[in-house]
Amino acid sequence: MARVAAQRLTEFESAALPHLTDLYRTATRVLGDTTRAEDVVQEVFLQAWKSFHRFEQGTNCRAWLFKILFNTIHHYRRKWFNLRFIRDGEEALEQTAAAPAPIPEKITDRQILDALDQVPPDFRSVVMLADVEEFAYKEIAGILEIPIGTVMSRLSRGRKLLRERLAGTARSYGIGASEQEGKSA
Amino acid sequence: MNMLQFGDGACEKVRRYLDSYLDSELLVETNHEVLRHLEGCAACSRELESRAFLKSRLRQAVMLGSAPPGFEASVIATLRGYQPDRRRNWMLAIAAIVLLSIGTWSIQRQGTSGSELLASIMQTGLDDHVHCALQRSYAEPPPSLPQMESDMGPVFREMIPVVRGKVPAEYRLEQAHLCTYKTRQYTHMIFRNDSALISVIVTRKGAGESFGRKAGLRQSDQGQFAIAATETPDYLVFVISNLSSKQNLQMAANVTPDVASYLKSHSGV
Repeated sequence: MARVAAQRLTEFESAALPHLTDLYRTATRVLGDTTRAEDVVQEVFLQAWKSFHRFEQGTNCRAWLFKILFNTIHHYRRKWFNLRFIRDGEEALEQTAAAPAPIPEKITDRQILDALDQVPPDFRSVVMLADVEEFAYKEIAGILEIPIGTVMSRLSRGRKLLRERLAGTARSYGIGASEQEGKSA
Repeated sequence: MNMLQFGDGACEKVRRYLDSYLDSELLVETNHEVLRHLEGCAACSRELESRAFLKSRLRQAVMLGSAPPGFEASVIATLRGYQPDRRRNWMLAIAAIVLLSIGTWSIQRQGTSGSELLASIMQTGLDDHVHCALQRSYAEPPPSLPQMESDMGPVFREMIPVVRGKVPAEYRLEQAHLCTYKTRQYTHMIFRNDSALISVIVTRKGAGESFGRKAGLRQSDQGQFAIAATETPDYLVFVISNLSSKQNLQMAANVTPDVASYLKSHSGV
């Protein structure tokens, strides 16, 4: 009996552990905190192992793990974050999402990550799943348990806000200005 | 669909589709119309390039991050240390987290600043109880007394007999150690008697963490947990259990005076 359980755990580890870095990276960016990301990912693996008997072999293990990740984040986020912050973020988005913004080519990784961190979590999650983890819209809808139309609108708004934050960051570092000056000189 | 290419506001309409186009998520017909528009529109082509550039750079920037060294080993250790007979504890822990989230949120929405502070302090103790006493699995049998004394460190090792002497003998001391949760350090003793689980927790006060002028015990119920707390000039002391409020308060009334005396006599450390 113990041998069967050990074999089953080995199967689980082989299927799930290759996705650990992806899960950790997404948790870190969505939560904005590496310690919390570690706690959440630890719990994701434990929850996944406990429900591994319900996992259908041959289906998408990665998407299944990400679904557990976002369920876990949802629980933790209610504990850790003030919900009003998220609503304020969405209101700010509505107010600032009007004008398209150019993306400077000399933008750094740090500036991109800082801009991403300023996007409200619900939108940031969809951007991460689509642009970094490269899930299809249908998979994202399944992971976040939202309609595909909502995936599309959150992705569009999230990307737009990211472009605007990035343009603002670049301006504050003088990146856009120096390019303009170089061209006009 | 021809409107996309030839109608008024074609660029604006095409740009609404650009994100889905970029992700290859459009229907074949729509995809074709967008493509035709892009062939004849330099501005929309530049916009597409800009979005594709950002998507690529974003992935590149995020992918640079990786899990810390030893994290995978830690996850494996957790999985292999998980014992199915501890399942009930985990279910209780998860239920506790959900209850705590709802409870804390409603207090945050409705409370005054005083009750928010009280809730925040109570949560500080409860966090450690849930994380350390409920969620963690410990090997059987419990550590020996010398091991526990060693785990408590030189400052708190002598607190073990102080607390042990005040908790009824039918409760087995399962753990006495220093632990950390969310960067905060706790001195933690865990007692169990069948299904009854009690934590006696001490943590150094953070800035502004005080119950105010009135001395004595504070008691709060959060879901299945009863939390009693008191303070010394430097420390917060908690007794948290799944006993009834009355039983927990009685337990705290027995335990906390001697713990407080101990902490005051060690206030220089």
